[in-house]
Amino acid sequence: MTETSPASADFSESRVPLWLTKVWASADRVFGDSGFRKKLRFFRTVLLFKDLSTRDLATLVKKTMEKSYGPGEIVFQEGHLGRAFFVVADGQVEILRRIQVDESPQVVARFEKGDFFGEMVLLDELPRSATCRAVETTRLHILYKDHFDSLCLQSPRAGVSILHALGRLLSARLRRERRSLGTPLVR
Amino acid sequence: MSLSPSDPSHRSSTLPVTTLFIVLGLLAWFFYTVRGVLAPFLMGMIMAYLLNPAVAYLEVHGVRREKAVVLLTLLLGTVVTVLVYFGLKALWQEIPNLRDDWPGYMRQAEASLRQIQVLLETSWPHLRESKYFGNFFTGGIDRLQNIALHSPALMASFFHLLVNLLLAPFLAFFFLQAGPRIAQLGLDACPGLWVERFLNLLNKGGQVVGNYTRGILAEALLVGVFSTLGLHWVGLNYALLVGLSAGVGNVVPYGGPVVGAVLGVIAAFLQFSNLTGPVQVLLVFVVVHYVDSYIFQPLIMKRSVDLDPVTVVFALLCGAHLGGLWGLILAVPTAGVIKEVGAVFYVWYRAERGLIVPSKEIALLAQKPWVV
Repeated sequence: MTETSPASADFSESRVPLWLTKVWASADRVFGDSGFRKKLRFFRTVLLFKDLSTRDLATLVKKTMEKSYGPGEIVFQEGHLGRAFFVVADGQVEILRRIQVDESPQVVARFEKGDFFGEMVLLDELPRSATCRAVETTRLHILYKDHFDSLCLQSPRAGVSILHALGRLLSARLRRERRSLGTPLVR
Repeated sequence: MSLSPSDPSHRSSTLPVTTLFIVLGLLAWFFYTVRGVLAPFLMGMIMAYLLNPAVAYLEVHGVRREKAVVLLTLLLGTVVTVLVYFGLKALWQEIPNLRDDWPGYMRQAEASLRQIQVLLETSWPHLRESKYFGNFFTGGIDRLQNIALHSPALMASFFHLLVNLLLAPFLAFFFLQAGPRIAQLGLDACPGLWVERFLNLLNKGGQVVGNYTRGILAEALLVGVFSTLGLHWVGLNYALLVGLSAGVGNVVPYGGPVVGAVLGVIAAFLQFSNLTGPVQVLLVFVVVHYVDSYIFQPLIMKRSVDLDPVTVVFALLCGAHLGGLWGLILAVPTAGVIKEVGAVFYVWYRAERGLIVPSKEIALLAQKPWVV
């Protein structure tokens, strides 16, 4: 899916004269931010954000920051308070958790480019349930929880869209966990 | 539960706390030492905070930040020029009037002082023998004028203010351009494990300072407008000048009505030469103070700093003691930031000791079977 700049997308959606579109395209070449457009295209591929309007997505992307982590560097640690949601821009991270109390932590998941993690922070403000560590040099997009909350207040439609996607994801995970444990579901 | 202590990344959880406090302490000491030159930078930062939402709006619409800042600067430059030409014209018209009326007011004040002198000497005749008492009243007004108009300190302060006012927009331009880069530099320098805490502190601090700055300026504008209208209604000649001073004075919490009342009462005393005028002016500022306290502040400031009046007064006294006028202006937002940082550290402390758990209602509901 190709992403135009937020404003030119608005133009393409409405019936605007061709000359005005051309003027806008010229202005976009002068003032436009190609790096930002690239970031928008990347975020459009993330499941939680794929149904957002272009403007809401642009608002959200503007609120994110980037950080590079060295191999083995801890992104967050189990028990620490979570305040941010992460999307892998490049590289790979692994999630570690102790299965038994006296055991050393084991890798329970790996996330690569385009994957996201730490999404529970968007729902509650509780300590992290696992530790996350960079496997190789990794670049992450970071969305701070308060910025997500302010987006929800500013654009409830965007908030509903993200939280619905998050709800569907959690429901699918719960069903899978139940199936793997063999516990019958109450219907 | 955490990774084993032998894990190299584990070390970073304790080391940065000490480093952070040392760096913060050194920074605080450095800024306190050079506080005399910080005024234009603070003014520039305040302007940048105010303009940042407009830049962010343009950025969301796909405009590169550097160009958004240039566009906004050009737009604001035009608006300010128009405002200075048309809006402040009235103010400039009042100043020549004040200059023309000044000798008359001084004569009136001299006469009033003379009346007070006669009254005091009639009541206490021995005062007539005191040389200092006579000197105080004879030429007292002239001496005050000379001090006010020819004091090198006053001229230097005025010059500093002018330089700061001219320098602040240039600095605001650079702060606006570099703002996100500075935050990104901080994030890059931050150890991985501290990223969420860094973001938490940065955003909480930023929220307090940003909301407070926008709130206090909006409040100052409202106090200025209401004071001007009130003074105009009681017939004071320099309603706009006094109202403007009240608005500017309100940058210090509770300062607007006080500054306005002092200047307004003096102006009313000089203009009306009776007690009714000053009392009316005083009443105007009592009303403005109550409207400010019970309407403006709850509406505008409720989200900025949640501090009780005792803390505000304590912060103001500390600010005045440490940094004079700028200390007074910065006292409340600094107290707000300290409070937020304290709250953030307290929540972390609780979380790391497992004291933050889901609420009882949620925990009870979670025990029930999952129905699909």
